Parts: sequence; C-alpha cells; structure tokens
Amino acid sequence: MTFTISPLSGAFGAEVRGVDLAHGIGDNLFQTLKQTWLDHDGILVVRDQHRMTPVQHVDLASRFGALIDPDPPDHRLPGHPLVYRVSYPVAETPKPRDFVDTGNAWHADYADAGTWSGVSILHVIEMPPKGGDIFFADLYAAYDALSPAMQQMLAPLAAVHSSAAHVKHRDGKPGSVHPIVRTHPETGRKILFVSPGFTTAIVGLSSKESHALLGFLNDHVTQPAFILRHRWIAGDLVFWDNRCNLHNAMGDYAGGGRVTFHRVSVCG
Amino acid sequence: MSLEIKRLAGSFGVEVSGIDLNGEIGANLFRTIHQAWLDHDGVMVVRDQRLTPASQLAFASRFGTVRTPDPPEFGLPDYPMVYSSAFDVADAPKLLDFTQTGAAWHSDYAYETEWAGASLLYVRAMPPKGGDILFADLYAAYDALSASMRAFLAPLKAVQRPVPIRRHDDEGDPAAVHPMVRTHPETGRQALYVSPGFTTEIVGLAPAESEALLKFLAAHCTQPQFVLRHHWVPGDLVVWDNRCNLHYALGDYSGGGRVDFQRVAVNGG
Repeated sequence: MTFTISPLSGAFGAEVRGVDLAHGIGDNLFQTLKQTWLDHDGILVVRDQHRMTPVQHVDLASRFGALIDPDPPDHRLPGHPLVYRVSYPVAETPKPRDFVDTGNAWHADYADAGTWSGVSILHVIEMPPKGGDIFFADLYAAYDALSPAMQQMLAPLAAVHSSAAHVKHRDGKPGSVHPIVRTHPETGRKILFVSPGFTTAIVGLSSKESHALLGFLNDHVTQPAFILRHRWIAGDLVFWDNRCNLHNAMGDYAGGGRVTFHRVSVCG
Repeated sequence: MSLEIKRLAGSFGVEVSGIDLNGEIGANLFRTIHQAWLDHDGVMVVRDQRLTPASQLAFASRFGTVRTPDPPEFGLPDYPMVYSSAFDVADAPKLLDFTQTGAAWHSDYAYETEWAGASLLYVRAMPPKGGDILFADLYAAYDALSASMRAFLAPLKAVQRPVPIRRHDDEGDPAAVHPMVRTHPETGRQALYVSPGFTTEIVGLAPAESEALLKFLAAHCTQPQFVLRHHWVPGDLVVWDNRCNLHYALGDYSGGGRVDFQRVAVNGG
C-alpha cells in the first residue's frame, strides 16, 4: 500500500490514497494527514475507508479537538450521539430534497449557531449511481483576491449568519454574528467569512447597502477559480474546514439505491 | 414686481419669481437669491426671464469664474462662454441621447480636474411635450448612507470620463480623479461626488469590487426621495450646483416645435 498525496484542483484540496484509518493511526501519520489538510486549504479526501466504524470515526475526529453535538438531534446515529447520520433511499428520478438532508446552499457548518466549527469529517457509506456531488469554496483564496483597499474596508465589518431561510427548526432564531475577515487559529491566514446560504446582513449597513455588498461578496467567493467539485465514492473520508471553506451539496441523487453518510464535526 | 421665493419640492429646490435679471441686481438682492440657492441644496428655478447672452453671462459671473463650454464649438460666436443649442423637433422623434441632451445622470465637467459649481441654463423654447430635467440631491444621498458606508467611502477616489459624449478616440479624452465624498466650499456640507454617467472605476479596487460599489451608489443617489423633476416653461432660468447635485436632461421631446437653450457654467472653487 503506497501512501500518495495528490492535488484535487488548481486552488486547493488534496486526495490521499494508501492509508487505512480503521484501526487508529500513529501520531506521525496523523500529523502528516492534518498538516496536509491544513496546507491544502482545508480539503482532504482519503479514499477507500470502507472499514471505518463510527467509534473509529469519532476517535479520529477527537484528535482534532472537542466535538460538536449534531443538530438537528433526530439525525444523531443511535448509540453514537456525536455522529450526524443521513440515510434514505433514492428513487430513479427523485424530487429535490431540503437543505437539512442535502446542504444545498453555500454554507459553513454551524456558522449560524454561535460556534465557529472547525473540521467536519464525512464518511461515505453508500451512494446512489448518480448525483450528489459536493462543491467546496476556498475562503483563503477569496480573501487574497480582494484588492488591499477592499480588504481594509471589510476589516472592521461583521455579518449575521442565519440558516432560517433554509432550515425550519431554526426559524425565528436570530443567527450569529461573525467578523467578515477572520484569522485561522492554526494557519494564521486571513479568511473572507461570508456565505451565500447563511449570510443575511452586514452589521451597521442599511439593508440596501448590505444587499449590494453581500451580492458582490457572494459572487466573489463562489467564482470558478475558488471552487472545486467532488464526486462522492463509497469509502471516501472527506475532511473540510468550516473556518476557511464553504460547501454546497447538490442533493441531486438519482438512479435508485441509497445515500448513507456519517459526519462528525469539531469545534473551531 | 415683488420677489417671491418658495420651495420647489418637498426636500430640496427653490423657485424664484418677481425678479428681472436683466436689470440691476444689487448685492443684497443677489445675496438673498444666492443664499436661497445654497439653502435649497443647489437647485433654483427663476421664472419669466428675458435674458440676453450678455445678461446671462453677467449673472453667472456672480456665482464664480465662468468656464469654456464643452465642446467649445457650441459656444456662441460673439459669446464663446455661452453654450447654445437650438434644433427643431419632429412630431414623434426618437429619444435623444446624451450627445444632444445630457440624458444620463451626471455633474457637468466632472471629467475635468477643475470641478464645476453653478450651471445656469436658460430656456427660450421648448416643444409642447417632453424635455423635463431631473435633479438628484447628493447631500441627502450622502446623509442617508450608514455611518459604516460613509467610513467605507471616505478614503476613496473615482475616475470620471466623458463616456457618453466622446465622439472621437479615447486618446486625448479628459479623465479626472476626484474624491468620492467632497466638502462643499460654500456650505461646508459633505456630498457624494459620483456621476453614474461618467464614473468608470474606483481607484484601488478590483474591477468587480468597483462595479458593485458604483452600481449600488448609482441606484442609491437616484432613489425617488432624492430626485425632483422640473418641466421647462420658456423663460425659465434654472441654476443647479454641480458640487452637490446630479442632473439628467430627458431628450423625449415630441409634438413638434423647437428646443432653444443657452447654458453658462462656472468653476467649483
């Protein structure tokens, strides 16, 4: 089994083959994986982890930091309450599903809930024949591409993040406020922290001013050069970093079969 | 004949009647009119005038240093500082564009380094329909921005070019860089200085950033609450202030007849 790391796209992301994480991994290998993940702007795909169990999944995630209780609670895996589980059959040509089951709006997990989350580790257990790709956006690259003048103008601003538009059980909840420019605690790099799915307003601007600026920022962070598209394959263990990426899962599964995945998220 | 001064619209603009600008206008009378013009955010309509180019020039000079028309070929042979335009209008003509009528939101001469102050436009003839002029109050537009947005704009400068009226190559065309927020030298108030028709980019921002911000500002300044519309009556002399308003001259004349107007502009100081 040869351990290989290869880039996933021009901007960011790495794919790792030739490791088996099912029985716990030594500190050196863990540090290599973690550093690779950080160096590739928070996206790491480890292929062929078919044998990983929920216990091992939680153990691996715990090495990154404290774990977050999954929300909504009815999606917690019985017996493994720190694992968020999605599992349902897919019709030949299904109707579109909602945000809770598909994440189909650009967002960073839990940005609306007060905590800034760090790594999310998703284990793909089964996938239908077609559809369900996920997009990731690189918020480091988005920040770096702003003019210095724009970087300075955004520096003092903060924005409200709320999933109320997508998630019924969060309706009426106020959302949380995050600075628009954030610094990653592990890499020290700057991040443009806005998401088309969750960012509803910029604090201190009028609603029209906010709408205009957010319109520009949302288009900016999701432009082709800053995004990558990943096709899930059963066995994938995908790491993303909610501090410096957005994600947007298509949810357009088709062709029968079933989608099942488990996700564990770590505090930021 | 007694002087009457009354508001033109809810938030800005003033109408003056009962005065003959061909006659002797003493210092006190001028000061009253000038102050009314400043106090009503720089838009004044003086009714029922029978001006000559000479008397229009004389009155204009009291607002500041008179400047050359752009393009200079529109200056009157005997009064080159008086821009004059006169043409017949068909019964149902095409909507005239900026090259003939100033149909874009702008501040005169914004693409020159020396900005303009008052522009004084005297209308001798107008067709039965169309040709209204609109004004946007840039003091009010500035005041309506949030404190954060004002802080955002404070250090910025924008490039202004005579985009809609250049009939020749870009080479040799004027372009000027001006702060986006300017202080009026006579009132001390701050106003946005952005002509949607002329402003092409914000210095130091990436193209998409600049475009987004300029689009927002153009829409912001021209919202209904900041705009007033004036319908010309022959004999009107309208004085606007290019330091704190934008104007938009509609070229939607119809019903036959003739357009005939003269304009004198002064420096902004």
